[in-house]
Amino acid sequence: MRIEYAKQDFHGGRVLPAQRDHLKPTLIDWVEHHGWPDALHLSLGQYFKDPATVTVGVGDRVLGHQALTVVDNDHQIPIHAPTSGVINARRHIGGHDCLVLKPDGAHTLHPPVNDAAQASDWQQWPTELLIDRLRDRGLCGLGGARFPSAAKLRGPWPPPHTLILNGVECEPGTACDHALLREQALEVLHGGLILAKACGAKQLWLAIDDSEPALAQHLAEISEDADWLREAASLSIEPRLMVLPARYPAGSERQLIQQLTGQQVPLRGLPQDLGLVTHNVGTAAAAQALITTGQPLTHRMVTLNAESSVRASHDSAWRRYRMPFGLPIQTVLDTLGLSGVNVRIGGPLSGQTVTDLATPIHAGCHVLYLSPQRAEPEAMPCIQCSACVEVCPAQLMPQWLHRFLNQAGASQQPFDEDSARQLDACIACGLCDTVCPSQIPLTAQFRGGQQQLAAQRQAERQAALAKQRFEARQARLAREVAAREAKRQARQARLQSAATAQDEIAAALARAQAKSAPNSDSQ
Amino acid sequence: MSTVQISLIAGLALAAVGVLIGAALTGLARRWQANDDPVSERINQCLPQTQCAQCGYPGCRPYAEAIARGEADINQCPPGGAATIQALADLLGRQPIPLNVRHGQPTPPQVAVIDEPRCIGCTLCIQACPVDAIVGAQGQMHTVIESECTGCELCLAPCPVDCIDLVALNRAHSHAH
Repeated sequence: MRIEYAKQDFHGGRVLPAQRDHLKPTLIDWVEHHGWPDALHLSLGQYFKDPATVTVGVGDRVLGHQALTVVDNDHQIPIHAPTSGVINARRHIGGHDCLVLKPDGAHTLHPPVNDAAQASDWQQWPTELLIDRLRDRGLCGLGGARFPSAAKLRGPWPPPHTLILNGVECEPGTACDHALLREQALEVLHGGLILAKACGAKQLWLAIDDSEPALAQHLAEISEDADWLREAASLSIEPRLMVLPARYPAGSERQLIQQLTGQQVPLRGLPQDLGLVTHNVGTAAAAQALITTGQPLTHRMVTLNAESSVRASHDSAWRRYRMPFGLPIQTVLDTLGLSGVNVRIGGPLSGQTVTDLATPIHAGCHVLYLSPQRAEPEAMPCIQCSACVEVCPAQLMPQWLHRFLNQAGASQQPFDEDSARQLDACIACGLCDTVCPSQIPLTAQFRGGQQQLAAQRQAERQAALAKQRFEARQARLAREVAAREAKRQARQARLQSAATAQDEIAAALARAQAKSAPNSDSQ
Repeated sequence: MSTVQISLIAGLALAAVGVLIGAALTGLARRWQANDDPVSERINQCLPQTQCAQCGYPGCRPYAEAIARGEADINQCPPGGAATIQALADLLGRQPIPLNVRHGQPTPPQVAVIDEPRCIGCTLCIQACPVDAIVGAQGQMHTVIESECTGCELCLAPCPVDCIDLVALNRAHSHAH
């Protein structure tokens, strides 16, 4: 692949110094070095509101790679046991609905469920089968959002023309994407072909940022691999390598698409509306592994990173680990001898602080970012300096939204179209917090607003449904009353005239006799 | 031309223009009719559609019609609480007033659950449900369709065996222990 440079740009954003030079280069397999933890907290909490159906009960013995949940649509993600053991409990841990698995140490594996033997000729599989296999083995977005991949690969839209593999390191503290491209570029490229075939795209773009100058050259060389080129040609997929400037949040889906194509994904729309679909490079590598080994997704690469003040001690802890899903963050901290720190899942900007350290590693944990525990700075009033407007990559007016949410919170007023639109467009990148001279926690407020907006919409849908059902019932009751009334009037009318009244009486007598006759016979 | 003629022509021309514009506007108004829901419908839109009848009317629409007629006040809806009162006050250009607690206290979202082994299949709750959210038949076990229940409590009173409970709504987490 030839190196191409993205020519378009997005509004706002900030160039932030990368925090990855201190990371040790080697990847450590957590289980090999530290063994299985006492308990794995396997998160069932899915991206969407309906979770997969749990198929195991408390007390059940399970094998490694055994499916613990089954899915019936593309928006659900099944989970699998990373190792063999006993299901001890099911409870809520740090906002996740979790199955607690106690590993037995034997690590007995369930055999691969299906067709691993023919995995080498996946190119011949029907698309539907390919997507079903990826879904049933638990593939989801490994870039942080955990979005169910199957729901991106097929859906009610024409097949996208271009699949974008997102290898842009989103935040200053993240390192998984570039490391993966350095170490397993061919797996990523093969996985890209699998995903492109699954969604029907004929263009495969690999997008990276320029924070690591040697990486683009390395990828350009690796992609000359003859096998891979032949495979791409046989599927008539045309690959491209795109490099864009490292400016946060260049790796965010909407901003990435804007830089690569100059087009904006519509508000409340999807990249598929533009004929595009994006997947993280980690997702592509995982897709390749799931298809060729037939094993489910039970591990992921996690970067452990920290602010410089925490970094001073524990010099060798800062690196990437291959961790099993369900590993409690507390176990990670205890094993490495870290304590009294604030942990974020996600980077220093868009990550969210973990309140319960029993929270497990899940598919969305691409980085654990540690910082010293410190009190939140006291927020001062907004001075309308509009620094937030200048950096906002979604071209919003955070200061306006801040004022609106303050007022709405005080007066319980529902969200109007303007505020709802701004909240829908906010990608919670956290940049406005970094520039606010009054140190207002804007992103946290907007996240809260987004939750309230979702609750308001849910209530509105519920009310509309109840209204419709109430009115339908009223109409039905009115119909029944009218029918009874019509029947009564008809009988009344027949009794009015003497002739028909006699007929009615005769008919009633006949009915009474017919009824009593069989009874008298039997007696 | 005399001044009289000029002013006559000008007057006629103005009148003609006026008639033309008037006709055009009438036509346009017919073509794009303003969204003129009756007031009662717009009031009904502000109500939570719980259909609980705590306001003293048999459902949200009858209450909305009573407000529109001026019979009922805007503070008789406990499920809607302060937010509904605020919305009604904004719509009708009145001052928001506190909830009239004679009609009940606001409750958090809830749904009815039938303790199925105890249900005798009498259908009384089915007849009471304002949104047809209970299914069952004479002599058969009944059950509540959770996604359609508004938590109005109207099924509680008719149940002869007291097998219906209201539980706090938590649609996100349902546990199967």
